[in-house]
Amino acid sequence: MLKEDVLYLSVGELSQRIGQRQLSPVELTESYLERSRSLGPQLNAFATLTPDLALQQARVAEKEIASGNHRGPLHGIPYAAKDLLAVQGYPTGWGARPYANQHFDYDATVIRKLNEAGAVLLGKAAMIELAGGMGYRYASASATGAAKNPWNQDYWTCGSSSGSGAIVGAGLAAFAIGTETWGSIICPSGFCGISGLRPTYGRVSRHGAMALSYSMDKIGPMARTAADCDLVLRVISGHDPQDLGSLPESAARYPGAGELTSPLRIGWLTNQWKDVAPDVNSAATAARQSLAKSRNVVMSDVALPEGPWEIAAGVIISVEGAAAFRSLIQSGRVADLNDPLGKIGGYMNEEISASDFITAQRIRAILQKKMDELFQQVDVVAAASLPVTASQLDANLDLALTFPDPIGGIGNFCGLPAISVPCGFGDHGLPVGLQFVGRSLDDAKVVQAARLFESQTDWHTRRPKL
Amino acid sequence: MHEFSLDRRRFALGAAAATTALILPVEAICQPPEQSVPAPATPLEQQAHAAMAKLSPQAQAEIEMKVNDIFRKYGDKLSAEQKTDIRKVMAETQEGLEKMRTFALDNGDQPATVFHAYRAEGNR
Repeated sequence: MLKEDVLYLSVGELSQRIGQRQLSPVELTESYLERSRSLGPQLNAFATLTPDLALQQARVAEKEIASGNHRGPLHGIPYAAKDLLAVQGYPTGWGARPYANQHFDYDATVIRKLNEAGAVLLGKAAMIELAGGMGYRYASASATGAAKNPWNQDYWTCGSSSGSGAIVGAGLAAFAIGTETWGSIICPSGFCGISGLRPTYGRVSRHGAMALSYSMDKIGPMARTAADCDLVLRVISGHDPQDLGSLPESAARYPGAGELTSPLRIGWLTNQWKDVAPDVNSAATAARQSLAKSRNVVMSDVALPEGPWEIAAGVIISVEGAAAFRSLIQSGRVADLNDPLGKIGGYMNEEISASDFITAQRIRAILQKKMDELFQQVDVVAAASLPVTASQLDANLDLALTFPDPIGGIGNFCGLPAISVPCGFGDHGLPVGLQFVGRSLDDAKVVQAARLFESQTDWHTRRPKL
Repeated sequence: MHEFSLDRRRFALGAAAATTALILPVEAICQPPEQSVPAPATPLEQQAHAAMAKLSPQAQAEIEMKVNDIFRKYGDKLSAEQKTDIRKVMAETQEGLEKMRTFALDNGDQPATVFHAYRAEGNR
Protein backbone atom coordinates (compact mmCIF):
# COMPACT_ATOMS: atom_id res chain seq x y z
CA MET A 1 0.00 0.00 0.00
CA LEU A 2 1.48 3.29 -1.10
CA LYS A 3 1.56 6.15 1.37
CA GLU A 4 -1.13 8.79 1.36
CA ASP A 5 1.47 11.32 0.21
CA VAL A 6 1.68 9.45 -3.09
CA LEU A 7 -2.06 8.97 -3.47
CA TYR A 8 -2.59 12.71 -3.15
CA LEU A 9 -0.03 13.58 -5.81
CA SER A 10 -1.34 15.39 -8.86
CA VAL A 11 -1.84 13.59 -12.15
CA GLY A 12 1.17 15.46 -13.49
CA GLU A 13 3.39 14.27 -10.64
CA LEU A 14 2.10 10.68 -10.78
CA SER A 15 2.60 10.60 -14.53
CA GLN A 16 6.17 11.82 -14.21
CA ARG A 17 7.00 9.09 -11.70
CA ILE A 18 5.27 6.44 -13.82
CA GLY A 19 7.07 7.60 -16.94
CA GLN A 20 10.41 7.42 -15.12
CA ARG A 21 9.41 3.97 -13.80
CA GLN A 22 9.66 5.14 -10.20
CA LEU A 23 6.02 4.24 -9.67
CA SER A 24 4.16 1.10 -10.72
CA PRO A 25 0.67 1.61 -12.21
CA VAL A 26 -0.31 -1.76 -10.73
CA GLU A 27 0.82 -0.80 -7.24
CA LEU A 28 -0.83 2.59 -7.60
CA THR A 29 -4.07 0.98 -8.71
CA GLU A 30 -4.01 -1.59 -5.90
CA SER A 31 -3.40 1.18 -3.38
CA TYR A 32 -6.27 3.33 -4.64
CA LEU A 33 -8.53 0.27 -4.70
CA GLU A 34 -7.62 -0.61 -1.13
CA ARG A 35 -8.28 2.96 -0.01
CA SER A 36 -11.53 3.03 -1.97
CA ARG A 37 -12.71 -0.22 -0.39
CA SER A 38 -11.90 1.17 3.03
CA LEU A 39 -13.12 4.77 2.76
CA GLY A 40 -15.50 4.59 -0.19
CA PRO A 41 -18.43 3.01 1.70
CA GLN A 42 -17.90 5.38 4.62
CA LEU A 43 -18.31 8.35 2.28
CA ASN A 44 -20.91 6.76 -0.04
CA ALA A 45 -18.49 7.73 -2.79
CA PHE A 46 -18.83 4.89 -5.29
CA ALA A 47 -21.74 3.27 -7.05
CA THR A 48 -19.55 0.40 -8.25
CA LEU A 49 -15.89 -0.50 -8.01
CA THR A 50 -14.36 -2.11 -11.10
CA PRO A 51 -11.31 -3.88 -9.63
CA ASP A 52 -10.98 -6.56 -12.31
CA LEU A 53 -11.02 -4.05 -15.12
CA ALA A 54 -8.74 -1.67 -13.22
CA LEU A 55 -6.07 -4.26 -12.53
CA GLN A 56 -6.22 -5.55 -16.08
CA GLN A 57 -5.77 -2.01 -17.45
CA ALA A 58 -3.00 -1.30 -14.94
CA ARG A 59 -1.08 -4.43 -15.90
CA VAL A 60 -1.33 -3.55 -19.59
CA ALA A 61 -0.14 -0.02 -18.84
CA GLU A 62 2.77 -1.27 -16.78
CA LYS A 63 3.84 -3.67 -19.49
CA GLU A 64 3.60 -1.05 -22.23
CA ILE A 65 5.49 1.57 -20.27
CA ALA A 66 8.19 -0.97 -19.39
CA SER A 67 8.61 -1.64 -23.09
CA GLY A 68 9.02 2.07 -23.81
CA ASN A 69 5.50 2.70 -25.08
CA HIS A 70 4.34 5.58 -22.87
CA ARG A 71 1.06 6.78 -24.34
CA GLY A 72 0.94 10.09 -22.51
CA PRO A 73 0.21 11.80 -19.19
CA LEU A 74 -2.80 9.65 -18.29
CA HIS A 75 -1.13 6.32 -19.00
CA GLY A 76 -1.46 4.16 -15.88
CA ILE A 77 -3.39 6.85 -13.97
CA PRO A 78 -6.41 5.55 -11.98
CA TYR A 79 -9.66 7.50 -12.17
CA ALA A 80 -13.38 7.23 -11.42
CA ALA A 81 -16.26 8.03 -13.77
CA LYS A 82 -19.66 9.38 -12.74
CA ASP A 83 -22.21 6.59 -12.89
CA LEU A 84 -24.05 8.12 -15.82
CA LEU A 85 -21.29 7.15 -18.25
CA ALA A 86 -21.78 3.81 -19.97
CA VAL A 87 -19.11 1.20 -19.26
CA GLN A 88 -19.51 -2.13 -20.96
CA GLY A 89 -19.76 -5.03 -18.53
CA TYR A 90 -20.76 -2.97 -15.50
CA PRO A 91 -24.04 -1.46 -14.33
CA THR A 92 -24.71 2.17 -15.18
CA GLY A 93 -27.40 3.14 -12.73
CA TRP A 94 -27.65 6.93 -13.19
CA GLY A 95 -27.75 7.20 -9.39
CA ALA A 96 -31.38 6.12 -9.45
CA ARG A 97 -33.10 3.00 -8.16
CA PRO A 98 -35.27 2.50 -11.27
CA TYR A 99 -32.07 2.08 -13.30
CA ALA A 100 -30.01 0.14 -10.76
CA ASN A 101 -29.55 -2.90 -13.02
CA GLN A 102 -29.13 -1.04 -16.30
CA HIS A 103 -26.31 -2.22 -18.58
CA PHE A 104 -24.96 -0.92 -21.87
CA ASP A 105 -23.05 -3.00 -24.38
CA TYR A 106 -20.67 -0.21 -25.29
CA ASP A 107 -18.45 2.39 -23.63
CA ALA A 108 -19.25 6.09 -23.56
CA THR A 109 -16.96 8.08 -25.83
CA VAL A 110 -15.25 9.66 -22.82
CA ILE A 111 -14.54 6.22 -21.35
CA ARG A 112 -13.21 5.02 -24.70
CA LYS A 113 -10.89 8.02 -25.02
CA LEU A 114 -9.55 7.58 -21.50
CA ASN A 115 -9.05 3.89 -22.18
CA GLU A 116 -7.11 4.73 -25.35
CA ALA A 117 -4.97 7.15 -23.32
CA GLY A 118 -4.12 4.28 -20.96
CA ALA A 119 -6.05 5.56 -17.95
CA VAL A 120 -7.26 3.00 -15.40
CA LEU A 121 -10.94 2.91 -14.43
CA LEU A 122 -11.27 2.21 -10.70
CA GLY A 123 -15.03 2.50 -10.50
CA LYS A 124 -18.25 4.37 -11.11
CA ALA A 125 -18.74 7.40 -8.89
CA ALA A 126 -21.96 7.86 -6.94
CA MET A 127 -24.25 10.65 -8.03
CA ILE A 128 -27.55 12.35 -7.36
CA GLU A 129 -30.39 10.41 -9.00
CA LEU A 130 -30.78 11.37 -12.67
CA ALA A 131 -28.28 14.18 -12.01
CA GLY A 132 -31.06 16.01 -10.22
CA GLY A 133 -33.18 16.17 -13.33
CA MET A 134 -36.47 15.68 -11.52
CA GLY A 135 -35.45 18.07 -8.74
CA TYR A 136 -34.36 17.18 -5.20
CA ARG A 137 -34.53 18.52 -1.69
CA TYR A 138 -32.15 16.28 0.20
CA ALA A 139 -28.60 14.98 -0.14
CA SER A 140 -30.07 11.50 0.17
CA ALA A 141 -31.46 11.81 -3.37
CA SER A 142 -29.18 9.02 -4.54
CA ALA A 143 -29.49 5.25 -4.82
CA THR A 144 -26.25 4.99 -2.83
CA GLY A 145 -27.17 7.43 -0.07
CA ALA A 146 -25.91 10.90 0.75
CA ALA A 147 -22.27 11.41 -0.20
CA LYS A 148 -20.25 12.64 2.75
CA ASN A 149 -17.78 15.47 2.53
CA PRO A 150 -14.24 14.20 3.19
CA TRP A 151 -13.44 17.38 5.11
CA ASN A 152 -16.27 16.94 7.56
CA GLN A 153 -18.51 13.93 7.28
CA ASP A 154 -21.46 15.66 8.88
CA TYR A 155 -21.67 17.70 5.70
CA TRP A 156 -22.56 17.02 2.08
CA THR A 157 -20.37 17.05 -1.02
CA CYS A 158 -22.96 18.89 -3.15
CA GLY A 159 -24.31 17.33 -6.33
CA SER A 160 -24.91 16.02 -8.72
CA SER A 161 -21.31 14.82 -9.20
CA SER A 162 -21.31 14.01 -5.51
CA GLY A 163 -19.22 10.85 -5.62
CA SER A 164 -16.70 12.42 -7.98
CA GLY A 165 -16.19 15.22 -5.45
CA ALA A 166 -15.81 12.82 -2.54
CA ILE A 167 -13.44 10.51 -4.43
CA VAL A 168 -10.99 13.21 -5.46
CA GLY A 169 -11.28 15.02 -2.12
CA ALA A 170 -10.55 11.83 -0.20
CA GLY A 171 -7.68 10.70 -2.39
CA LEU A 172 -9.48 7.59 -3.65
CA ALA A 173 -8.42 8.23 -7.27
CA ALA A 174 -6.14 10.62 -9.08
CA PHE A 175 -9.04 12.29 -10.86
CA ALA A 176 -12.70 11.78 -11.66
CA ILE A 177 -15.08 12.58 -14.44
CA GLY A 178 -18.13 14.65 -13.55
CA THR A 179 -20.92 16.25 -15.50
CA GLU A 180 -22.67 19.56 -15.21
CA THR A 181 -26.01 20.79 -16.44
CA TRP A 182 -26.12 23.53 -13.83
CA GLY A 183 -23.67 23.51 -10.93
CA SER A 184 -22.86 19.80 -10.82
CA ILE A 185 -19.11 20.16 -11.29
CA ILE A 186 -18.55 23.63 -9.84
CA CYS A 187 -20.50 23.04 -6.61
CA PRO A 188 -18.99 19.69 -5.55
CA SER A 189 -15.54 20.96 -6.51
CA GLY A 190 -16.07 24.01 -4.32
CA PHE A 191 -17.51 22.06 -1.40
CA CYS A 192 -14.84 19.32 -1.55
CA GLY A 193 -11.78 21.56 -1.97
CA ILE A 194 -10.77 20.26 -5.39
CA SER A 195 -10.33 21.65 -8.90
CA GLY A 196 -13.18 21.02 -11.33
CA LEU A 197 -13.48 22.13 -14.94
CA ARG A 198 -16.73 22.55 -16.84
CA PRO A 199 -15.73 22.71 -20.51
CA THR A 200 -17.40 24.74 -23.22
CA TYR A 201 -20.61 23.04 -24.38
CA GLY A 202 -19.89 20.69 -27.26
CA ARG A 203 -16.21 20.24 -26.55
CA VAL A 204 -16.61 16.82 -24.91
CA SER A 205 -18.85 14.17 -26.44
CA ARG A 206 -21.89 13.04 -24.41
CA HIS A 207 -22.32 9.84 -26.42
CA GLY A 208 -22.98 7.10 -23.90
CA ALA A 209 -23.80 9.57 -21.13
CA MET A 210 -27.23 9.88 -19.56
CA ALA A 211 -29.06 12.80 -21.11
CA LEU A 212 -30.79 15.23 -18.81
CA SER A 213 -30.72 18.40 -20.90
CA TYR A 214 -29.64 17.91 -24.50
CA SER A 215 -28.60 21.53 -24.90
CA MET A 216 -26.99 22.04 -21.50
CA ASP A 217 -25.25 18.82 -20.41
CA LYS A 218 -21.43 18.96 -20.26
CA ILE A 219 -18.79 16.47 -19.16
CA GLY A 220 -15.60 17.56 -17.43
CA PRO A 221 -12.70 16.58 -15.18
CA MET A 222 -12.48 16.93 -11.41
CA ALA A 223 -8.95 16.70 -10.05
CA ARG A 224 -6.45 18.06 -7.57
CA THR A 225 -5.20 20.95 -9.68
CA ALA A 226 -6.18 23.10 -12.62
CA ALA A 227 -3.19 21.69 -14.48
CA ASP A 228 -4.61 18.18 -14.01
CA CYS A 229 -7.96 19.31 -15.40
CA ASP A 230 -6.09 20.67 -18.38
CA LEU A 231 -4.38 17.31 -18.96
CA VAL A 232 -7.64 15.37 -18.78
CA LEU A 233 -9.57 17.76 -21.00
CA ARG A 234 -6.89 17.42 -23.68
CA VAL A 235 -7.67 13.71 -23.80
CA ILE A 236 -11.47 13.73 -23.60
CA SER A 237 -12.17 16.67 -25.93
CA GLY A 238 -12.82 16.41 -29.64
CA HIS A 239 -15.59 16.10 -32.18
CA ASP A 240 -17.90 13.09 -32.09
CA PRO A 241 -20.51 12.63 -34.82
CA GLN A 242 -22.52 10.53 -32.37
CA ASP A 243 -23.27 13.63 -30.29
CA LEU A 244 -25.40 16.16 -32.19
CA GLY A 245 -24.18 18.90 -29.84
CA SER A 246 -20.53 18.18 -30.60
CA LEU A 247 -18.53 21.07 -32.02
CA PRO A 248 -16.50 20.63 -35.23
CA GLU A 249 -13.08 19.12 -34.56
CA SER A 250 -11.26 22.44 -35.02
CA ALA A 251 -13.27 23.91 -32.15
CA ALA A 252 -13.86 20.82 -30.04
CA ARG A 253 -10.23 19.72 -29.82
CA TYR A 254 -8.67 21.32 -26.73
CA PRO A 255 -4.99 21.98 -27.31
CA GLY A 256 -4.22 22.76 -23.67
CA ALA A 257 -3.47 25.95 -21.81
CA GLY A 258 -0.05 27.29 -22.66
CA GLU A 259 1.96 29.77 -20.64
CA LEU A 260 0.54 33.26 -20.37
CA THR A 261 1.90 35.59 -23.04
CA SER A 262 0.12 38.68 -21.75
CA PRO A 263 -1.57 39.61 -18.47
CA LEU A 264 -4.98 38.07 -17.88
CA ARG A 265 -7.84 40.53 -17.58
CA ILE A 266 -9.90 39.25 -14.66
CA GLY A 267 -13.27 40.83 -13.95
CA TRP A 268 -14.44 40.38 -10.37
CA LEU A 269 -18.20 39.95 -10.39
CA THR A 270 -19.92 42.61 -8.32
CA ASN A 271 -23.42 41.18 -8.62
CA GLN A 272 -22.97 37.44 -8.40
CA TRP A 273 -23.92 36.54 -4.86
CA LYS A 274 -26.56 38.52 -3.04
CA ASP A 275 -25.52 37.34 0.43
CA VAL A 276 -22.14 35.79 1.02
CA ALA A 277 -21.45 33.99 4.31
CA PRO A 278 -18.73 35.79 6.32
CA ASP A 279 -16.33 32.84 6.21
CA VAL A 280 -16.68 32.55 2.43
CA ASN A 281 -16.40 36.29 1.98
CA SER A 282 -13.17 36.34 3.94
CA ALA A 283 -11.58 33.63 1.80
CA ALA A 284 -12.86 35.11 -1.47
CA THR A 285 -11.63 38.59 -0.58
CA ALA A 286 -8.19 37.20 0.21
CA ALA A 287 -8.25 35.33 -3.11
CA ARG A 288 -9.05 38.49 -4.99
CA GLN A 289 -6.24 40.34 -3.24
CA SER A 290 -3.83 37.57 -4.05
CA LEU A 291 -4.76 37.66 -7.73
CA ALA A 292 -4.60 41.45 -7.88
CA LYS A 293 -1.01 41.38 -6.65
CA SER A 294 0.14 39.34 -9.62
CA ARG A 295 1.98 41.08 -12.45
CA ASN A 296 0.14 38.73 -14.77
CA VAL A 297 -3.30 39.98 -13.81
CA VAL A 298 -5.23 43.13 -14.63
CA MET A 299 -8.11 43.17 -12.16
CA SER A 300 -11.33 45.11 -12.55
CA ASP A 301 -14.92 44.99 -11.37
CA VAL A 302 -17.61 43.83 -13.78
CA ALA A 303 -21.34 43.25 -13.51
CA LEU A 304 -23.41 40.58 -15.18
CA PRO A 305 -26.28 41.73 -17.39
CA GLU A 306 -29.69 41.77 -15.73
CA GLY A 307 -32.47 39.57 -17.07
CA PRO A 308 -34.54 36.44 -16.55
CA TRP A 309 -31.61 34.22 -17.43
CA GLU A 310 -31.94 31.75 -14.59
CA ILE A 311 -35.62 31.04 -15.07
CA ALA A 312 -35.12 30.70 -18.82
CA ALA A 313 -32.27 28.25 -18.22
CA GLY A 314 -34.51 26.37 -15.82
CA VAL A 315 -37.28 26.16 -18.39
CA ILE A 316 -34.87 24.60 -20.89
CA ILE A 317 -33.61 22.01 -18.42
CA SER A 318 -37.10 21.17 -17.20
CA VAL A 319 -38.55 20.66 -20.66
CA GLU A 320 -35.58 18.73 -22.00
CA GLY A 321 -35.50 16.64 -18.83
CA ALA A 322 -39.22 15.89 -19.07
CA ALA A 323 -38.68 14.70 -22.64
CA ALA A 324 -35.56 12.70 -21.78
CA PHE A 325 -37.34 10.88 -18.93
CA ARG A 326 -40.81 10.78 -20.44
CA SER A 327 -41.27 7.03 -20.04
CA LEU A 328 -40.11 7.14 -16.41
CA ILE A 329 -42.52 9.97 -15.65
CA GLN A 330 -45.53 8.66 -17.50
CA SER A 331 -45.12 5.14 -16.16
CA GLY A 332 -45.18 6.47 -12.62
CA ARG A 333 -41.82 4.86 -11.87
CA VAL A 334 -40.58 8.25 -10.66
CA ALA A 335 -42.19 7.07 -7.41
CA ASP A 336 -39.16 4.80 -7.03
CA LEU A 337 -36.80 7.76 -6.84
CA ASN A 338 -35.55 8.59 -3.33
CA ASP A 339 -36.32 12.26 -3.10
CA PRO A 340 -39.81 13.64 -2.38
CA LEU A 341 -39.38 16.39 -4.97
CA GLY A 342 -37.93 13.97 -7.50
CA LYS A 343 -41.07 11.85 -7.23
CA ILE A 344 -43.29 14.74 -8.44
CA GLY A 345 -40.97 17.06 -10.35
CA GLY A 346 -41.40 15.36 -13.70
CA TYR A 347 -45.17 15.78 -13.60
CA MET A 348 -44.75 19.54 -13.17
CA ASN A 349 -42.09 19.81 -15.83
CA GLU A 350 -44.44 18.26 -18.36
CA GLU A 351 -46.78 21.22 -17.94
CA ILE A 352 -44.36 23.78 -19.38
CA SER A 353 -45.66 25.05 -22.70
CA ALA A 354 -43.84 24.88 -26.01
CA SER A 355 -44.31 28.63 -26.25
CA ASP A 356 -42.42 29.19 -23.00
CA PHE A 357 -39.71 26.80 -24.13
CA ILE A 358 -39.13 28.69 -27.37
CA THR A 359 -39.26 32.01 -25.54
CA ALA A 360 -36.48 30.74 -23.30
CA GLN A 361 -34.46 29.70 -26.35
CA ARG A 362 -34.87 33.15 -27.90
CA ILE A 363 -33.77 34.81 -24.68
CA ARG A 364 -30.81 32.48 -24.69
CA ALA A 365 -29.56 33.76 -28.04
CA ILE A 366 -29.75 37.35 -26.83
CA LEU A 367 -27.85 36.49 -23.67
CA GLN A 368 -25.13 34.75 -25.67
CA LYS A 369 -24.39 38.02 -27.48
CA LYS A 370 -24.46 40.04 -24.27
CA MET A 371 -21.97 37.71 -22.64
CA ASP A 372 -19.70 37.74 -25.65
CA GLU A 373 -19.67 41.54 -25.42
CA LEU A 374 -18.79 41.34 -21.74
CA PHE A 375 -15.83 39.16 -22.63
CA GLN A 376 -14.50 41.93 -24.86
CA GLN A 377 -13.70 43.78 -21.62
CA VAL A 378 -12.19 40.89 -19.66
CA ASP A 379 -10.73 37.46 -20.35
CA VAL A 380 -12.46 35.75 -17.46
CA VAL A 381 -14.84 36.70 -14.68
CA ALA A 382 -14.32 35.52 -11.11
CA ALA A 383 -16.33 35.05 -7.92
CA ALA A 384 -16.64 32.67 -5.01
CA SER A 385 -17.86 29.31 -6.34
CA LEU A 386 -20.71 29.30 -3.81
CA PRO A 387 -21.79 31.89 -1.24
CA VAL A 388 -21.74 29.27 1.51
CA THR A 389 -19.66 26.27 2.50
CA ALA A 390 -21.09 22.75 2.37
CA SER A 391 -24.57 22.19 3.77
CA GLN A 392 -25.29 19.62 6.47
CA LEU A 393 -26.01 16.07 5.34
CA ASP A 394 -29.63 16.08 6.46
CA ALA A 395 -30.43 19.68 5.52
CA ASN A 396 -33.52 20.59 3.54
CA LEU A 397 -31.77 22.08 0.54
CA ASP A 398 -34.76 24.28 -0.24
CA LEU A 399 -33.74 26.16 2.89
CA ALA A 400 -29.98 25.58 3.10
CA LEU A 401 -28.87 25.87 -0.51
CA THR A 402 -31.32 28.14 -2.29
CA PHE A 403 -30.17 31.44 -3.68
CA PRO A 404 -29.90 33.28 -6.99
CA ASP A 405 -26.92 32.02 -8.99
CA PRO A 406 -26.67 34.30 -12.04
CA ILE A 407 -23.25 33.21 -13.26
CA GLY A 408 -24.18 29.55 -12.81
CA GLY A 409 -27.36 30.07 -14.77
CA ILE A 410 -25.74 32.27 -17.41
CA GLY A 411 -22.62 30.14 -17.76
CA ASN A 412 -24.56 26.94 -18.28
CA PHE A 413 -27.28 28.55 -20.37
CA CYS A 414 -24.60 29.88 -22.75
CA GLY A 415 -22.35 26.83 -22.54
CA LEU A 416 -19.40 28.81 -21.17
CA PRO A 417 -16.32 27.16 -19.65
CA ALA A 418 -15.73 27.48 -15.91
CA ILE A 419 -13.42 26.14 -13.25
CA SER A 420 -13.54 26.01 -9.48
CA VAL A 421 -10.36 25.84 -7.41
CA PRO A 422 -9.93 25.85 -3.63
CA CYS A 423 -9.24 29.27 -2.09
CA GLY A 424 -9.41 28.69 1.64
CA PHE A 425 -11.48 27.24 4.44
CA GLY A 426 -14.53 28.41 6.30
CA ASP A 427 -16.37 27.29 9.41
CA HIS A 428 -16.34 23.61 10.44
CA GLY A 429 -13.14 23.01 8.45
CA LEU A 430 -15.01 23.17 5.14
CA PRO A 431 -13.38 24.34 1.90
CA VAL A 432 -14.21 27.50 -0.02
CA GLY A 433 -13.99 27.59 -3.80
CA LEU A 434 -13.11 30.30 -6.29
CA GLN A 435 -14.58 30.12 -9.79
CA PHE A 436 -13.42 31.55 -13.09
CA VAL A 437 -15.76 31.67 -16.08
CA GLY A 438 -14.64 32.44 -19.62
CA ARG A 439 -15.84 33.17 -23.10
CA SER A 440 -17.07 30.27 -25.20
CA LEU A 441 -14.05 28.13 -26.24
CA ASP A 442 -11.75 30.04 -23.88
CA ASP A 443 -11.32 26.97 -21.68
CA ALA A 444 -7.57 27.61 -21.75
CA LYS A 445 -8.02 31.04 -20.20
CA VAL A 446 -10.04 29.74 -17.25
CA VAL A 447 -7.35 27.10 -16.74
CA GLN A 448 -4.63 29.77 -16.96
CA ALA A 449 -6.40 31.93 -14.39
CA ALA A 450 -6.90 28.98 -12.04
CA ARG A 451 -3.35 27.76 -12.53
CA LEU A 452 -2.01 31.22 -11.80
CA PHE A 453 -4.04 31.32 -8.58
CA GLU A 454 -2.83 27.88 -7.57
CA SER A 455 0.76 28.97 -8.22
CA GLN A 456 0.27 31.74 -5.65
CA THR A 457 -1.45 29.65 -2.98
CA ASP A 458 -1.30 26.18 -1.46
CA TRP A 459 -4.97 25.51 -0.77
CA HIS A 460 -5.02 22.81 -3.45
CA THR A 461 -2.33 20.88 -1.60
CA ARG A 462 -4.32 20.58 1.63
CA ARG A 463 -5.70 17.17 2.58
CA PRO A 464 -8.57 16.14 4.84
CA LYS A 465 -7.91 13.95 7.87
CA LEU A 466 -9.65 10.66 7.24
CA MET B 1 -30.06 41.58 -7.99
CA HIS B 2 -32.80 39.09 -8.84
CA GLU B 3 -36.11 39.29 -7.12
CA PHE B 4 -36.79 35.71 -8.05
CA SER B 5 -34.72 33.16 -6.23
CA LEU B 6 -34.15 30.13 -8.38
CA ASP B 7 -33.22 26.93 -6.71
CA ARG B 8 -30.87 25.02 -8.97
CA ARG B 9 -32.31 21.76 -7.76
CA ARG B 10 -35.82 22.76 -8.71
CA PHE B 11 -34.99 24.44 -12.01
CA ALA B 12 -38.27 25.75 -13.39
CA LEU B 13 -40.59 23.15 -11.96
CA GLY B 14 -44.09 24.32 -12.40
CA ALA B 15 -43.60 26.78 -15.22
CA ALA B 16 -46.95 27.59 -16.71
CA ALA B 17 -48.80 26.86 -19.94
CA ALA B 18 -49.48 30.32 -21.29
CA THR B 19 -51.12 29.23 -24.49
CA THR B 20 -53.60 26.89 -22.88
CA ALA B 21 -54.66 29.65 -20.50
CA LEU B 22 -56.39 31.27 -23.44
CA ILE B 23 -58.94 28.50 -23.68
CA LEU B 24 -60.10 28.89 -20.10
CA PRO B 25 -63.53 30.43 -19.63
CA VAL B 26 -63.36 33.96 -18.33
CA GLU B 27 -65.31 32.92 -15.25
CA ALA B 28 -62.62 30.44 -14.37
CA ILE B 29 -59.86 32.98 -14.77
CA CYS B 30 -61.67 35.48 -12.59
CA GLN B 31 -62.60 32.97 -9.93
CA PRO B 32 -60.94 33.89 -6.62
CA PRO B 33 -58.53 31.14 -5.49
CA GLU B 34 -60.09 30.90 -2.06
CA GLN B 35 -63.13 29.27 -3.64
CA SER B 36 -61.09 26.54 -5.30
CA VAL B 37 -58.38 25.93 -2.68
CA PRO B 38 -59.47 24.45 0.64
CA ALA B 39 -58.55 26.31 3.81
CA PRO B 40 -55.00 25.31 4.82
CA ALA B 41 -54.63 22.87 7.65
CA THR B 42 -51.08 21.51 7.51
CA PRO B 43 -47.88 23.60 7.28
CA LEU B 44 -47.46 22.44 3.67
CA GLU B 45 -50.99 23.54 2.83
CA GLN B 46 -50.33 26.87 4.51
CA GLN B 47 -47.19 27.33 2.39
CA ALA B 48 -49.10 26.44 -0.76
CA HIS B 49 -51.87 28.84 0.14
CA ALA B 50 -49.39 31.63 0.92
CA ALA B 51 -47.58 31.10 -2.38
CA MET B 52 -50.85 31.17 -4.32
CA ALA B 53 -52.01 34.30 -2.50
CA LYS B 54 -49.05 36.26 -3.86
CA LEU B 55 -50.13 35.66 -7.46
CA SER B 56 -52.52 37.52 -9.69
CA PRO B 57 -55.92 35.93 -10.37
CA GLN B 58 -54.77 35.05 -13.89
CA ALA B 59 -51.64 33.37 -12.57
CA GLN B 60 -53.66 31.51 -9.96
CA ALA B 61 -56.03 30.27 -12.64
CA GLU B 62 -53.09 29.13 -14.72
CA ILE B 63 -51.65 27.20 -11.79
CA GLU B 64 -55.00 25.61 -11.04
CA MET B 65 -55.39 24.57 -14.65
CA LYS B 66 -51.96 22.97 -14.75
CA VAL B 67 -52.43 21.31 -11.37
CA ASN B 68 -55.74 19.90 -12.50
CA ASP B 69 -54.11 18.60 -15.66
CA ILE B 70 -51.49 16.79 -13.57
CA PHE B 71 -54.15 15.37 -11.28
CA ARG B 72 -56.21 14.26 -14.27
CA LYS B 73 -53.25 12.37 -15.72
CA TYR B 74 -51.45 11.20 -12.60
CA GLY B 75 -53.81 11.79 -9.69
CA ASP B 76 -54.12 8.09 -8.92
CA LYS B 77 -50.36 7.93 -8.36
CA LEU B 78 -50.23 10.91 -5.98
CA SER B 79 -50.90 11.21 -2.26
CA ALA B 80 -52.75 14.18 -0.82
CA GLU B 81 -49.45 15.56 0.46
CA GLN B 82 -47.84 15.26 -2.95
CA LYS B 83 -50.76 17.05 -4.53
CA THR B 84 -50.37 19.92 -2.08
CA ASP B 85 -46.63 19.95 -2.68
CA ILE B 86 -47.20 20.23 -6.42
CA ARG B 87 -49.51 23.22 -5.97
CA LYS B 88 -46.97 24.88 -3.64
CA VAL B 89 -43.95 24.41 -5.92
CA MET B 90 -45.83 25.52 -9.00
CA ALA B 91 -47.10 28.63 -7.25
CA GLU B 92 -43.63 29.46 -5.95
CA THR B 93 -42.05 29.28 -9.40
CA GLN B 94 -44.77 31.14 -11.28
CA GLU B 95 -43.33 34.60 -10.58
CA GLY B 96 -40.09 33.83 -12.37
CA LEU B 97 -41.91 32.42 -15.34
CA GLU B 98 -44.04 35.52 -15.68
CA LYS B 99 -40.92 37.65 -15.49
CA MET B 100 -39.43 35.66 -18.34
CA ARG B 101 -42.54 36.17 -20.46
CA THR B 102 -42.26 39.95 -20.17
CA PHE B 103 -38.72 39.98 -21.60
CA ALA B 104 -38.77 42.17 -24.72
CA LEU B 105 -38.35 40.10 -27.87
CA ASP B 106 -38.69 41.17 -31.49
CA ASN B 107 -40.26 38.94 -34.11
CA GLY B 108 -36.85 38.31 -35.65
CA ASP B 109 -35.17 37.20 -32.43
CA GLN B 110 -34.43 33.59 -33.25
CA PRO B 111 -34.10 30.79 -30.72
CA ALA B 112 -30.59 29.68 -29.78
CA THR B 113 -31.32 26.14 -30.91
CA VAL B 114 -32.24 26.21 -34.58
CA PHE B 115 -32.74 23.50 -37.14
CA HIS B 116 -29.81 22.72 -39.42
CA ALA B 117 -29.99 20.77 -42.64
CA TYR B 118 -28.22 17.43 -42.25
CA ARG B 119 -25.74 15.63 -44.44
CA ALA B 120 -23.77 12.65 -43.14
CA GLU B 121 -20.09 13.26 -42.60
CA GLY B 122 -17.81 11.71 -45.18
CA ASN B 123 -20.58 11.05 -47.72
CA ARG B 124 -20.26 12.53 -51.19
